[in-house]
Amino acid sequence: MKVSRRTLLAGAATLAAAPTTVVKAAVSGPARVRTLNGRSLEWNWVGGVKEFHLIAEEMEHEFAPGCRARCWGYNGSTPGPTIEAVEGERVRILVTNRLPEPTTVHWHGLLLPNGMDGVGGLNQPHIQPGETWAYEFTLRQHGTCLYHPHADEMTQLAFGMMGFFIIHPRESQEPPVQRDYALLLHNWALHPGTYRPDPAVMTEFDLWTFNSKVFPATEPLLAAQGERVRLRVGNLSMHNHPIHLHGHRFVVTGSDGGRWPRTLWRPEITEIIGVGQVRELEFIADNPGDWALHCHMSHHTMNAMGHSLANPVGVKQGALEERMRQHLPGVMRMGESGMFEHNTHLGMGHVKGPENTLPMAMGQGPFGQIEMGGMFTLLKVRPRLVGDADPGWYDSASVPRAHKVQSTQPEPGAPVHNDHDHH
Amino acid sequence: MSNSCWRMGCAIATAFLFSGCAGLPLDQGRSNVHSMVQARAPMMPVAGAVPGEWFAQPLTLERAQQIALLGNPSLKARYAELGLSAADVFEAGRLQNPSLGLSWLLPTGGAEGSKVGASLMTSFADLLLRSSRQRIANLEYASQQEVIATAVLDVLADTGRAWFECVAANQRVAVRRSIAEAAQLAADLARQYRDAGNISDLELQVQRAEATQARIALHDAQLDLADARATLQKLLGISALRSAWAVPESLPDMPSSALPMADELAARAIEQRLDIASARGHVQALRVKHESTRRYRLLVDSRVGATLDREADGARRVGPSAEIALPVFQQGQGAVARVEAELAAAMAKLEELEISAQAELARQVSRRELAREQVQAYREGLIPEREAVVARLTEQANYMLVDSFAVLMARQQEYDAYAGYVDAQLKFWNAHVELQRAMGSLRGLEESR
Repeated sequence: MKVSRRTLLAGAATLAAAPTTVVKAAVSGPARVRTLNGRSLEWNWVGGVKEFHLIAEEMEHEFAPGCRARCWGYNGSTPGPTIEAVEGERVRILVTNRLPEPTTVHWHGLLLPNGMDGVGGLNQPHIQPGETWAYEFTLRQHGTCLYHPHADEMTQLAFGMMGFFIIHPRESQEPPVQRDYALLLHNWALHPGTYRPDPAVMTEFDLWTFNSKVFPATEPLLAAQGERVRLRVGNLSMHNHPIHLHGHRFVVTGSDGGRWPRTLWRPEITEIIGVGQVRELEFIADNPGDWALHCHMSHHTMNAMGHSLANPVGVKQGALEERMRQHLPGVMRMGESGMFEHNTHLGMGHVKGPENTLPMAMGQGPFGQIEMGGMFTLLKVRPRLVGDADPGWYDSASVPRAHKVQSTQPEPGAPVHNDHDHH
Repeated sequence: MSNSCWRMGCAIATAFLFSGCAGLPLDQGRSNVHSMVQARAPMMPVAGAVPGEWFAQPLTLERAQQIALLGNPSLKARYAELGLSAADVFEAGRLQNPSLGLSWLLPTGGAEGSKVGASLMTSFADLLLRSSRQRIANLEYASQQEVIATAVLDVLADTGRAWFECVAANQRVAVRRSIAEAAQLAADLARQYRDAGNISDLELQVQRAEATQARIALHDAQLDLADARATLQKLLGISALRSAWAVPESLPDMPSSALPMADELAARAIEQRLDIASARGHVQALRVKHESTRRYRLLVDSRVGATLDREADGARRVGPSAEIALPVFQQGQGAVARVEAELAAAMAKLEELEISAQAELARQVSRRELAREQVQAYREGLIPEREAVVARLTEQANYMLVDSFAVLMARQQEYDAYAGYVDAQLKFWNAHVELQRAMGSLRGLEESR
């Protein structure tokens, strides 16, 4: 065990003002879970206790290139870094408050003494700005849990304060998992043209995120063909999300209550993660290719769009073009035949939108625009993977593919119309 | 008759004739008015017909004022009034005609021979008062010229007001037309949305009502323009049949120089305003009249002259005669009191004129300054801000965050800002013209301290 200044000061309940970036200690073990677009929190052994240090602070966060905001999180990120520990260990988490207002941390799903539960006003006085407090307890469970403030939740959650607390079981589990990913679902009211989320919004959100990122900035899941993959999904947003995976069938194997017995595992293609819930999903990555993994609420895979516009589909505006050019210079006529054309123009960067605002649908794939945003990412399964590097687009040239049919008949296949329509 | 008598008679007659030779021609009065006007309104024409080619271009302010000077019908009437004063001056310079008395007495009863008599009489007061009467008439004539010059400057100011009103009305019509077009576009767009089944009839009718409202406002603006044109046309003296004249489509930029201090402006106004000069001249004339009325009040009704008699026997007698009014029952107090009353009234009017001139000046100075600030608020504030709103909404529309109807509404608000800008500019120019009127001159507002 490396002796550091910290170990010499073991036992002190508070520290003087700590630096924002925590010095990475040598004893911190390798992260076992890949927190997509994020990292796991470093720790130190201090007198037999695994000690972590969370710093609650404001930072500038980028949702995707072209959109950033002033958010609140831990140790420079939202979500905060993942806390990983093992069932049976004693943990101490130091929390320094660099926010402009009081905070606490609640350990969502953890079984611990009442005084450590972190509900401000109920279990403890609030952590004032500038103070550092210590939470300490022994882990007597395993599972995917979460941590988040329990003070001014309306603001602090809306601004992004949350993170994973993953407790690994003492013994390794069967079947073993080669890839272990964590995704935290959230929603943001970042109104177009602004730089700070609006905490007063409860239902109409602008951005839906996986680990506080929107597609195409969401990091893809990687798996080599045949590997067993675990995906832990937590939901601290204001809405339930049906998480849907293409090309694979997963089993739901656990929650923040721990790993379920095998008899309770459910095979699913889509699993609703309710607000406040966590689900562990496992599958064999046996189908090579680039697979969509997303929330199935179609408006959660879009970035901000207006919801009270007059519907332009089917509206002929051609005759008014000249006059529209005079009175509405710069307004592009779009939407007459649906949104595809609009998405194309925006995707190619033809159109200037409000500052700091992402197009509703983005992303270019190998065959054209993907037209997604928000809670959308990819699972890339390859026969072989070299390390953790992104393998690029799947080369589907040698596998069966949907193709256009050449036919001299006007309606290939001669579909049968319902006779009632043709009297 | 003897040579001496004829000589005396001729001398008297010649004295009478030559003493009345100081008369001012009407032309001199006209040219005084012209030079007073030109000193205060540079580059104004003196006289002549209005050249037809002036109407080929949009009339500038200066051109309109020149046309008004040459053609305004009320000015022609005022110039004619000058003749009245001129006549007074002429008469004042001349002596009253003497009266010739003749008698031819024929004998009746026992007398023999006839007696012929002739007498030549003139008013004594007329002789005494002539020089002061001349001075009074000259002063009143000058005063009258100043009144007419003031009327000319008033016509120039009225023409200026009417011209600015006309240009502003022109500009307002253009803005209202843009608003009406934008609103009509929204209504036509709504029609397309309705045909596609995407909005309700309620939403369509709301848009149509907005468009009609805007069209009605355009009609109002067009009515105002017709009124403004008629007013200007009347001032310019253009025949109603000549409709092919135009004014520029937008108001000129405000002058950037600041005004001299209020005190200095007030001093200049008192000095150069011709109505004040006229009132002063009138007061001066009444002072002269008061002085001479007081001095000669006892002699007013006396007469002097010469008499010649020829008796029946041919003997002639000739000599001076006089008729002297005896101030027994009244000593001319009535006349003096009358003149004193006239003088007091004239002095009171002069004071009133000076005070109201200063008040009007102060009022127009502050109106002009506040209007200038308002124009700047439009130009540097509201208009760029409305344009920015439209630009930001356009960005939102292109990202499908708002629809074209929202952008069109913002565009109409932008046009509304232009309309307010025109009104603010007109307020400035109205105050500017009224300030020139209050100063009594079209020049000198920007020349400084």
